[in-house]
Amino acid sequence: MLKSLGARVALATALLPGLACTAEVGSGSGGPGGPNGIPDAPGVSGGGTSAVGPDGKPLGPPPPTVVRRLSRAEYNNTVRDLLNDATRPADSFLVDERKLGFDNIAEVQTASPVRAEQYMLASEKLVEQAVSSLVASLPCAATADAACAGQLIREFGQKAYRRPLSDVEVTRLLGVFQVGNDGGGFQRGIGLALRTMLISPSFLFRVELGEPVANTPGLLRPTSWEMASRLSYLILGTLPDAELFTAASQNALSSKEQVRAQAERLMGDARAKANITHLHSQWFDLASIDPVHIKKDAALFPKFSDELLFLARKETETFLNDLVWNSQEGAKALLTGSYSFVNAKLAAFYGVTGPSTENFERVALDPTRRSGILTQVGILARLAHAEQTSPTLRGKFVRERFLCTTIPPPPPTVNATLQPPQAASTTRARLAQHLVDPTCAGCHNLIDPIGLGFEHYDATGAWQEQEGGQAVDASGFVTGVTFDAPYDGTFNGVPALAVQLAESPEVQACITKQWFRFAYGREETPLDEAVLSQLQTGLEGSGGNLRELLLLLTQTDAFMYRGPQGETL
Amino acid sequence: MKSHRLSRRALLSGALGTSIALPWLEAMLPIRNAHGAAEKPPLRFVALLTCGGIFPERFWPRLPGEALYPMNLPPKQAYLGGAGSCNDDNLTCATVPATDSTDYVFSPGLEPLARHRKDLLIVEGLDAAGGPGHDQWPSMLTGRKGRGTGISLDQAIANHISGDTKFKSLNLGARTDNGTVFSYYGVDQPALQENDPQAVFDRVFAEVAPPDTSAIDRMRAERKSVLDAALAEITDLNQKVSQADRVKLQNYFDSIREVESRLDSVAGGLSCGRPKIASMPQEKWWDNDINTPTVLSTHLDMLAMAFACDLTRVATVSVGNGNSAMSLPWLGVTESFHDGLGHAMDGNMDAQNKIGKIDAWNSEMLAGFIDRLKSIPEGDGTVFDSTVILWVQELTKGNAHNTDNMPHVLAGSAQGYFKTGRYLRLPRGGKVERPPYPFGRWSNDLKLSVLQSMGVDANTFGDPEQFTAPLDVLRG
Repeated sequence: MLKSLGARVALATALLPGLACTAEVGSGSGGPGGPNGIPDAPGVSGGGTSAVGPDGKPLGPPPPTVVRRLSRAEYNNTVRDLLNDATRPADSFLVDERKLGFDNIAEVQTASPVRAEQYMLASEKLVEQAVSSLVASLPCAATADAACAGQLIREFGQKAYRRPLSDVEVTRLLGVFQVGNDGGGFQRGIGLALRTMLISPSFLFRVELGEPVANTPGLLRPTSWEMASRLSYLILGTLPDAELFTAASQNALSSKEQVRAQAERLMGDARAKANITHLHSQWFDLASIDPVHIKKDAALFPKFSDELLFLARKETETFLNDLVWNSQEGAKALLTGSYSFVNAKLAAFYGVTGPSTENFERVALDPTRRSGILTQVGILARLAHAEQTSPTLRGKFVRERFLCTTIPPPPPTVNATLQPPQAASTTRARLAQHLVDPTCAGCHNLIDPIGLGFEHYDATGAWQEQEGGQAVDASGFVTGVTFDAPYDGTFNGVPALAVQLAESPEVQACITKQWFRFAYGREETPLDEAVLSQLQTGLEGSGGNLRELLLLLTQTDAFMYRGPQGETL
Repeated sequence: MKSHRLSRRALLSGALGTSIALPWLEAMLPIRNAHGAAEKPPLRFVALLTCGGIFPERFWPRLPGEALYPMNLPPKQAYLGGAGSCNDDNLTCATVPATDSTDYVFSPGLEPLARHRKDLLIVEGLDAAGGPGHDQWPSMLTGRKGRGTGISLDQAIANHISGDTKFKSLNLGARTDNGTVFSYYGVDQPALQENDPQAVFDRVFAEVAPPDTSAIDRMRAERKSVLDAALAEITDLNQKVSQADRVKLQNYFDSIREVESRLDSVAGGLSCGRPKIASMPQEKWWDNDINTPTVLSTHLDMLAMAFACDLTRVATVSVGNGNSAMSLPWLGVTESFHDGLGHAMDGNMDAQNKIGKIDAWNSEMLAGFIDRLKSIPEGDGTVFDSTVILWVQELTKGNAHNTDNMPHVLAGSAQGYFKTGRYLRLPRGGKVERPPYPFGRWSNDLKLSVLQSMGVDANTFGDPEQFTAPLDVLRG
């Protein structure tokens, strides 16, 4: 829960004039916000005047949004569940454009001829595999006429488009069926209709038209069909299951209670775990914990190996999954949990007594040395160079991933050369140049003092007491962030940093934002302040329960409604 | 039907099929009737994009009488052709006079290209201002600051010369991380590169068989009905969705139209036999450093073939990006490209020598591609005669992250438009204003000349603040 504002102290944050790092620091909004209490209309009171939030600012409807394209992961999941095809065809598609680390931000998604062609070729392969069994399963297969084709088109189409097809659409698809039927028979015709559906915008995009909300002109909410997709893609990363489709057909997804009940049900589906792992993978860039992206000097670090990286990635994934699905305080333990999940090889690397087999088990770690994700081997090794640590990368990671700060790249003409490691020299000493050179200091003052607190972890993430023959100095400080007393942002070592971060409203706000971005496929805007505040308050009120956060994401105005659409966007 | 390229003699002799060395790819044997051999072959353009900077002193050629830069001597900051250096603080550069040499001497970095010397234009003294620091790659072909801020050179060329080829362009890469894009159809319209050779193969050569015209005709007709129906769906939806959604859906609509408009362009497919590609058992084998040479040679082989079959006329081929953790283990460069080399001090001779090795390897890659193009007869000459390859580097020096005096190498004359066989030092130096460029000429000046060599009627390219005039000295 929030502590009193009066007890907060902040470290001086002044940047050098004219050299200010233009990083945008998270708003730190943490006050009690939440919905305005009007049950069926967000931010709009009966008379159409805007309601006012606790901070005196008007609460409005959600901001306008833009249609979302299926990400590669969502495409793979969707064809798996639609066609029983586990070949993951989207793996060979062009990569998804990324923003803020996420692959599903609609604003930056583009089509291109290459992508369109990949959709076309994939649809041909998928249909070639699936069409005969689909046709065989038709009760009307014996007649094999247009009426039978129409039946399949309606049934399959309702799953593929995640809504009933219009008569116009059915007629059009029957026209395509006819082309194939004339040229190569019934199955050929069906195949063409299926191919059309798989390159249709209604399949590849999550098109929402919405429906009006009573007594609130201009406001829309998703139809029940659209709400079924919102829920399913948010929690499972795939198309709705039979029960959701049934609920949609009965228009039983319009109240928050109905939505919450379905969300709770979906969270029990095994596919939810994979989907949330995908969130984590992007938030923390876990996909790059592999030998392609991480290389260490074998002479300096003989205990390190490529195999260890695969294990380390699994460790972090398991830890994060456990936070979401088993912990009551995942948002805190993310930073402060002095335990992890290791197998025999990882336990040896950490120097702890642990499992004696290949199987991963939860083990307690020394709380003075290890604290949550920040001290896990995969993350630490990723955020380091081949021969030495990188306080800059580590500090930047904390800023970007836990404080939602955008750090601009170094200015042009900067000689970004660091001296190589030498005997009797420490990374801290070599890095000092960043902080004395005014060109660098603006940004590096935000980054390096945090990263230098990681100096007890060498380039592979192993604990070190000494560097270059000198005792490690792991003192550091965080600027620009408000902490509640007794914390003030100064610390020695990561566990001491982590506990302050975990208690910081700005960190909790950032955790909320990361989930928001993944869940809603967009960056937050000022119009989302009330929703973010509601989510954060809920998360903190639950003690940091991430399952509650996931549920809450289905209960906001942003989820329940659509912003004003129209020509004025 | 296009049929103007490969001479009948060459086709019948099977020269094409046997002369391309293909580690993973078995070349096709064209079976087309070449009844229009007198027709002028189409122009083609390739941008080769490498990243992370060079070892300048051991990269640029020497004039006769100038000594090669010694081994194991660290590079100097802002080195220029052995003649002068720029000082960023008082914005002055020692003056370098114009030099136009045909009897230049190769330094080790470009030495592998020596066998193509008469076909090269090595241009020293071009500046760029993309950036900042770690964000140069989006500017390499757009000539503008920032990501996706304008059309890239390859696409500007493709708009003009792609004709009715099946692919407007091929954008291929090795170890280019997510987010790295070099080619742009226009503002915020990235043409992402494809990294997986198998996927490229499947897409590009899928239709290059069977030589059964009725099957191909049916395939085209079916695709056309499918695509038409999808287009109609978008048109319907566009009546109902918001303006913002309409932009996205229209973008998809245009992309499908582009695919559809090229459906009939399987002329190459009808006349080139289908190549084969060895299937690679490892998942994502192409994203592994060890396989980078194979990925690139396969890409370049496929590209040569796609040119020969006139499946496309424009391509980009990119290797990594300067920020990536890519290593080059086949060169003994086991450290990461960016962390290990890109930030290494000038005095770190191990790192500098490795950068020199990478320069030479890049040169050999280009030289090998030229070999391939020269091995494919076309008209009275070879496919190379109608091709221009522009090799651009992301940075001048990796550790300085600077973009003044950027490496540019042109190969191919565009059917005689450029006067090749020369090493040019553009006049450079003196006092300049902030921003500190150009000390010499703009990279965009050269890019416009390339655009013009492709027959495009343009008089500027890229950021207007980074453009002076076409680099006419390239023509002689």
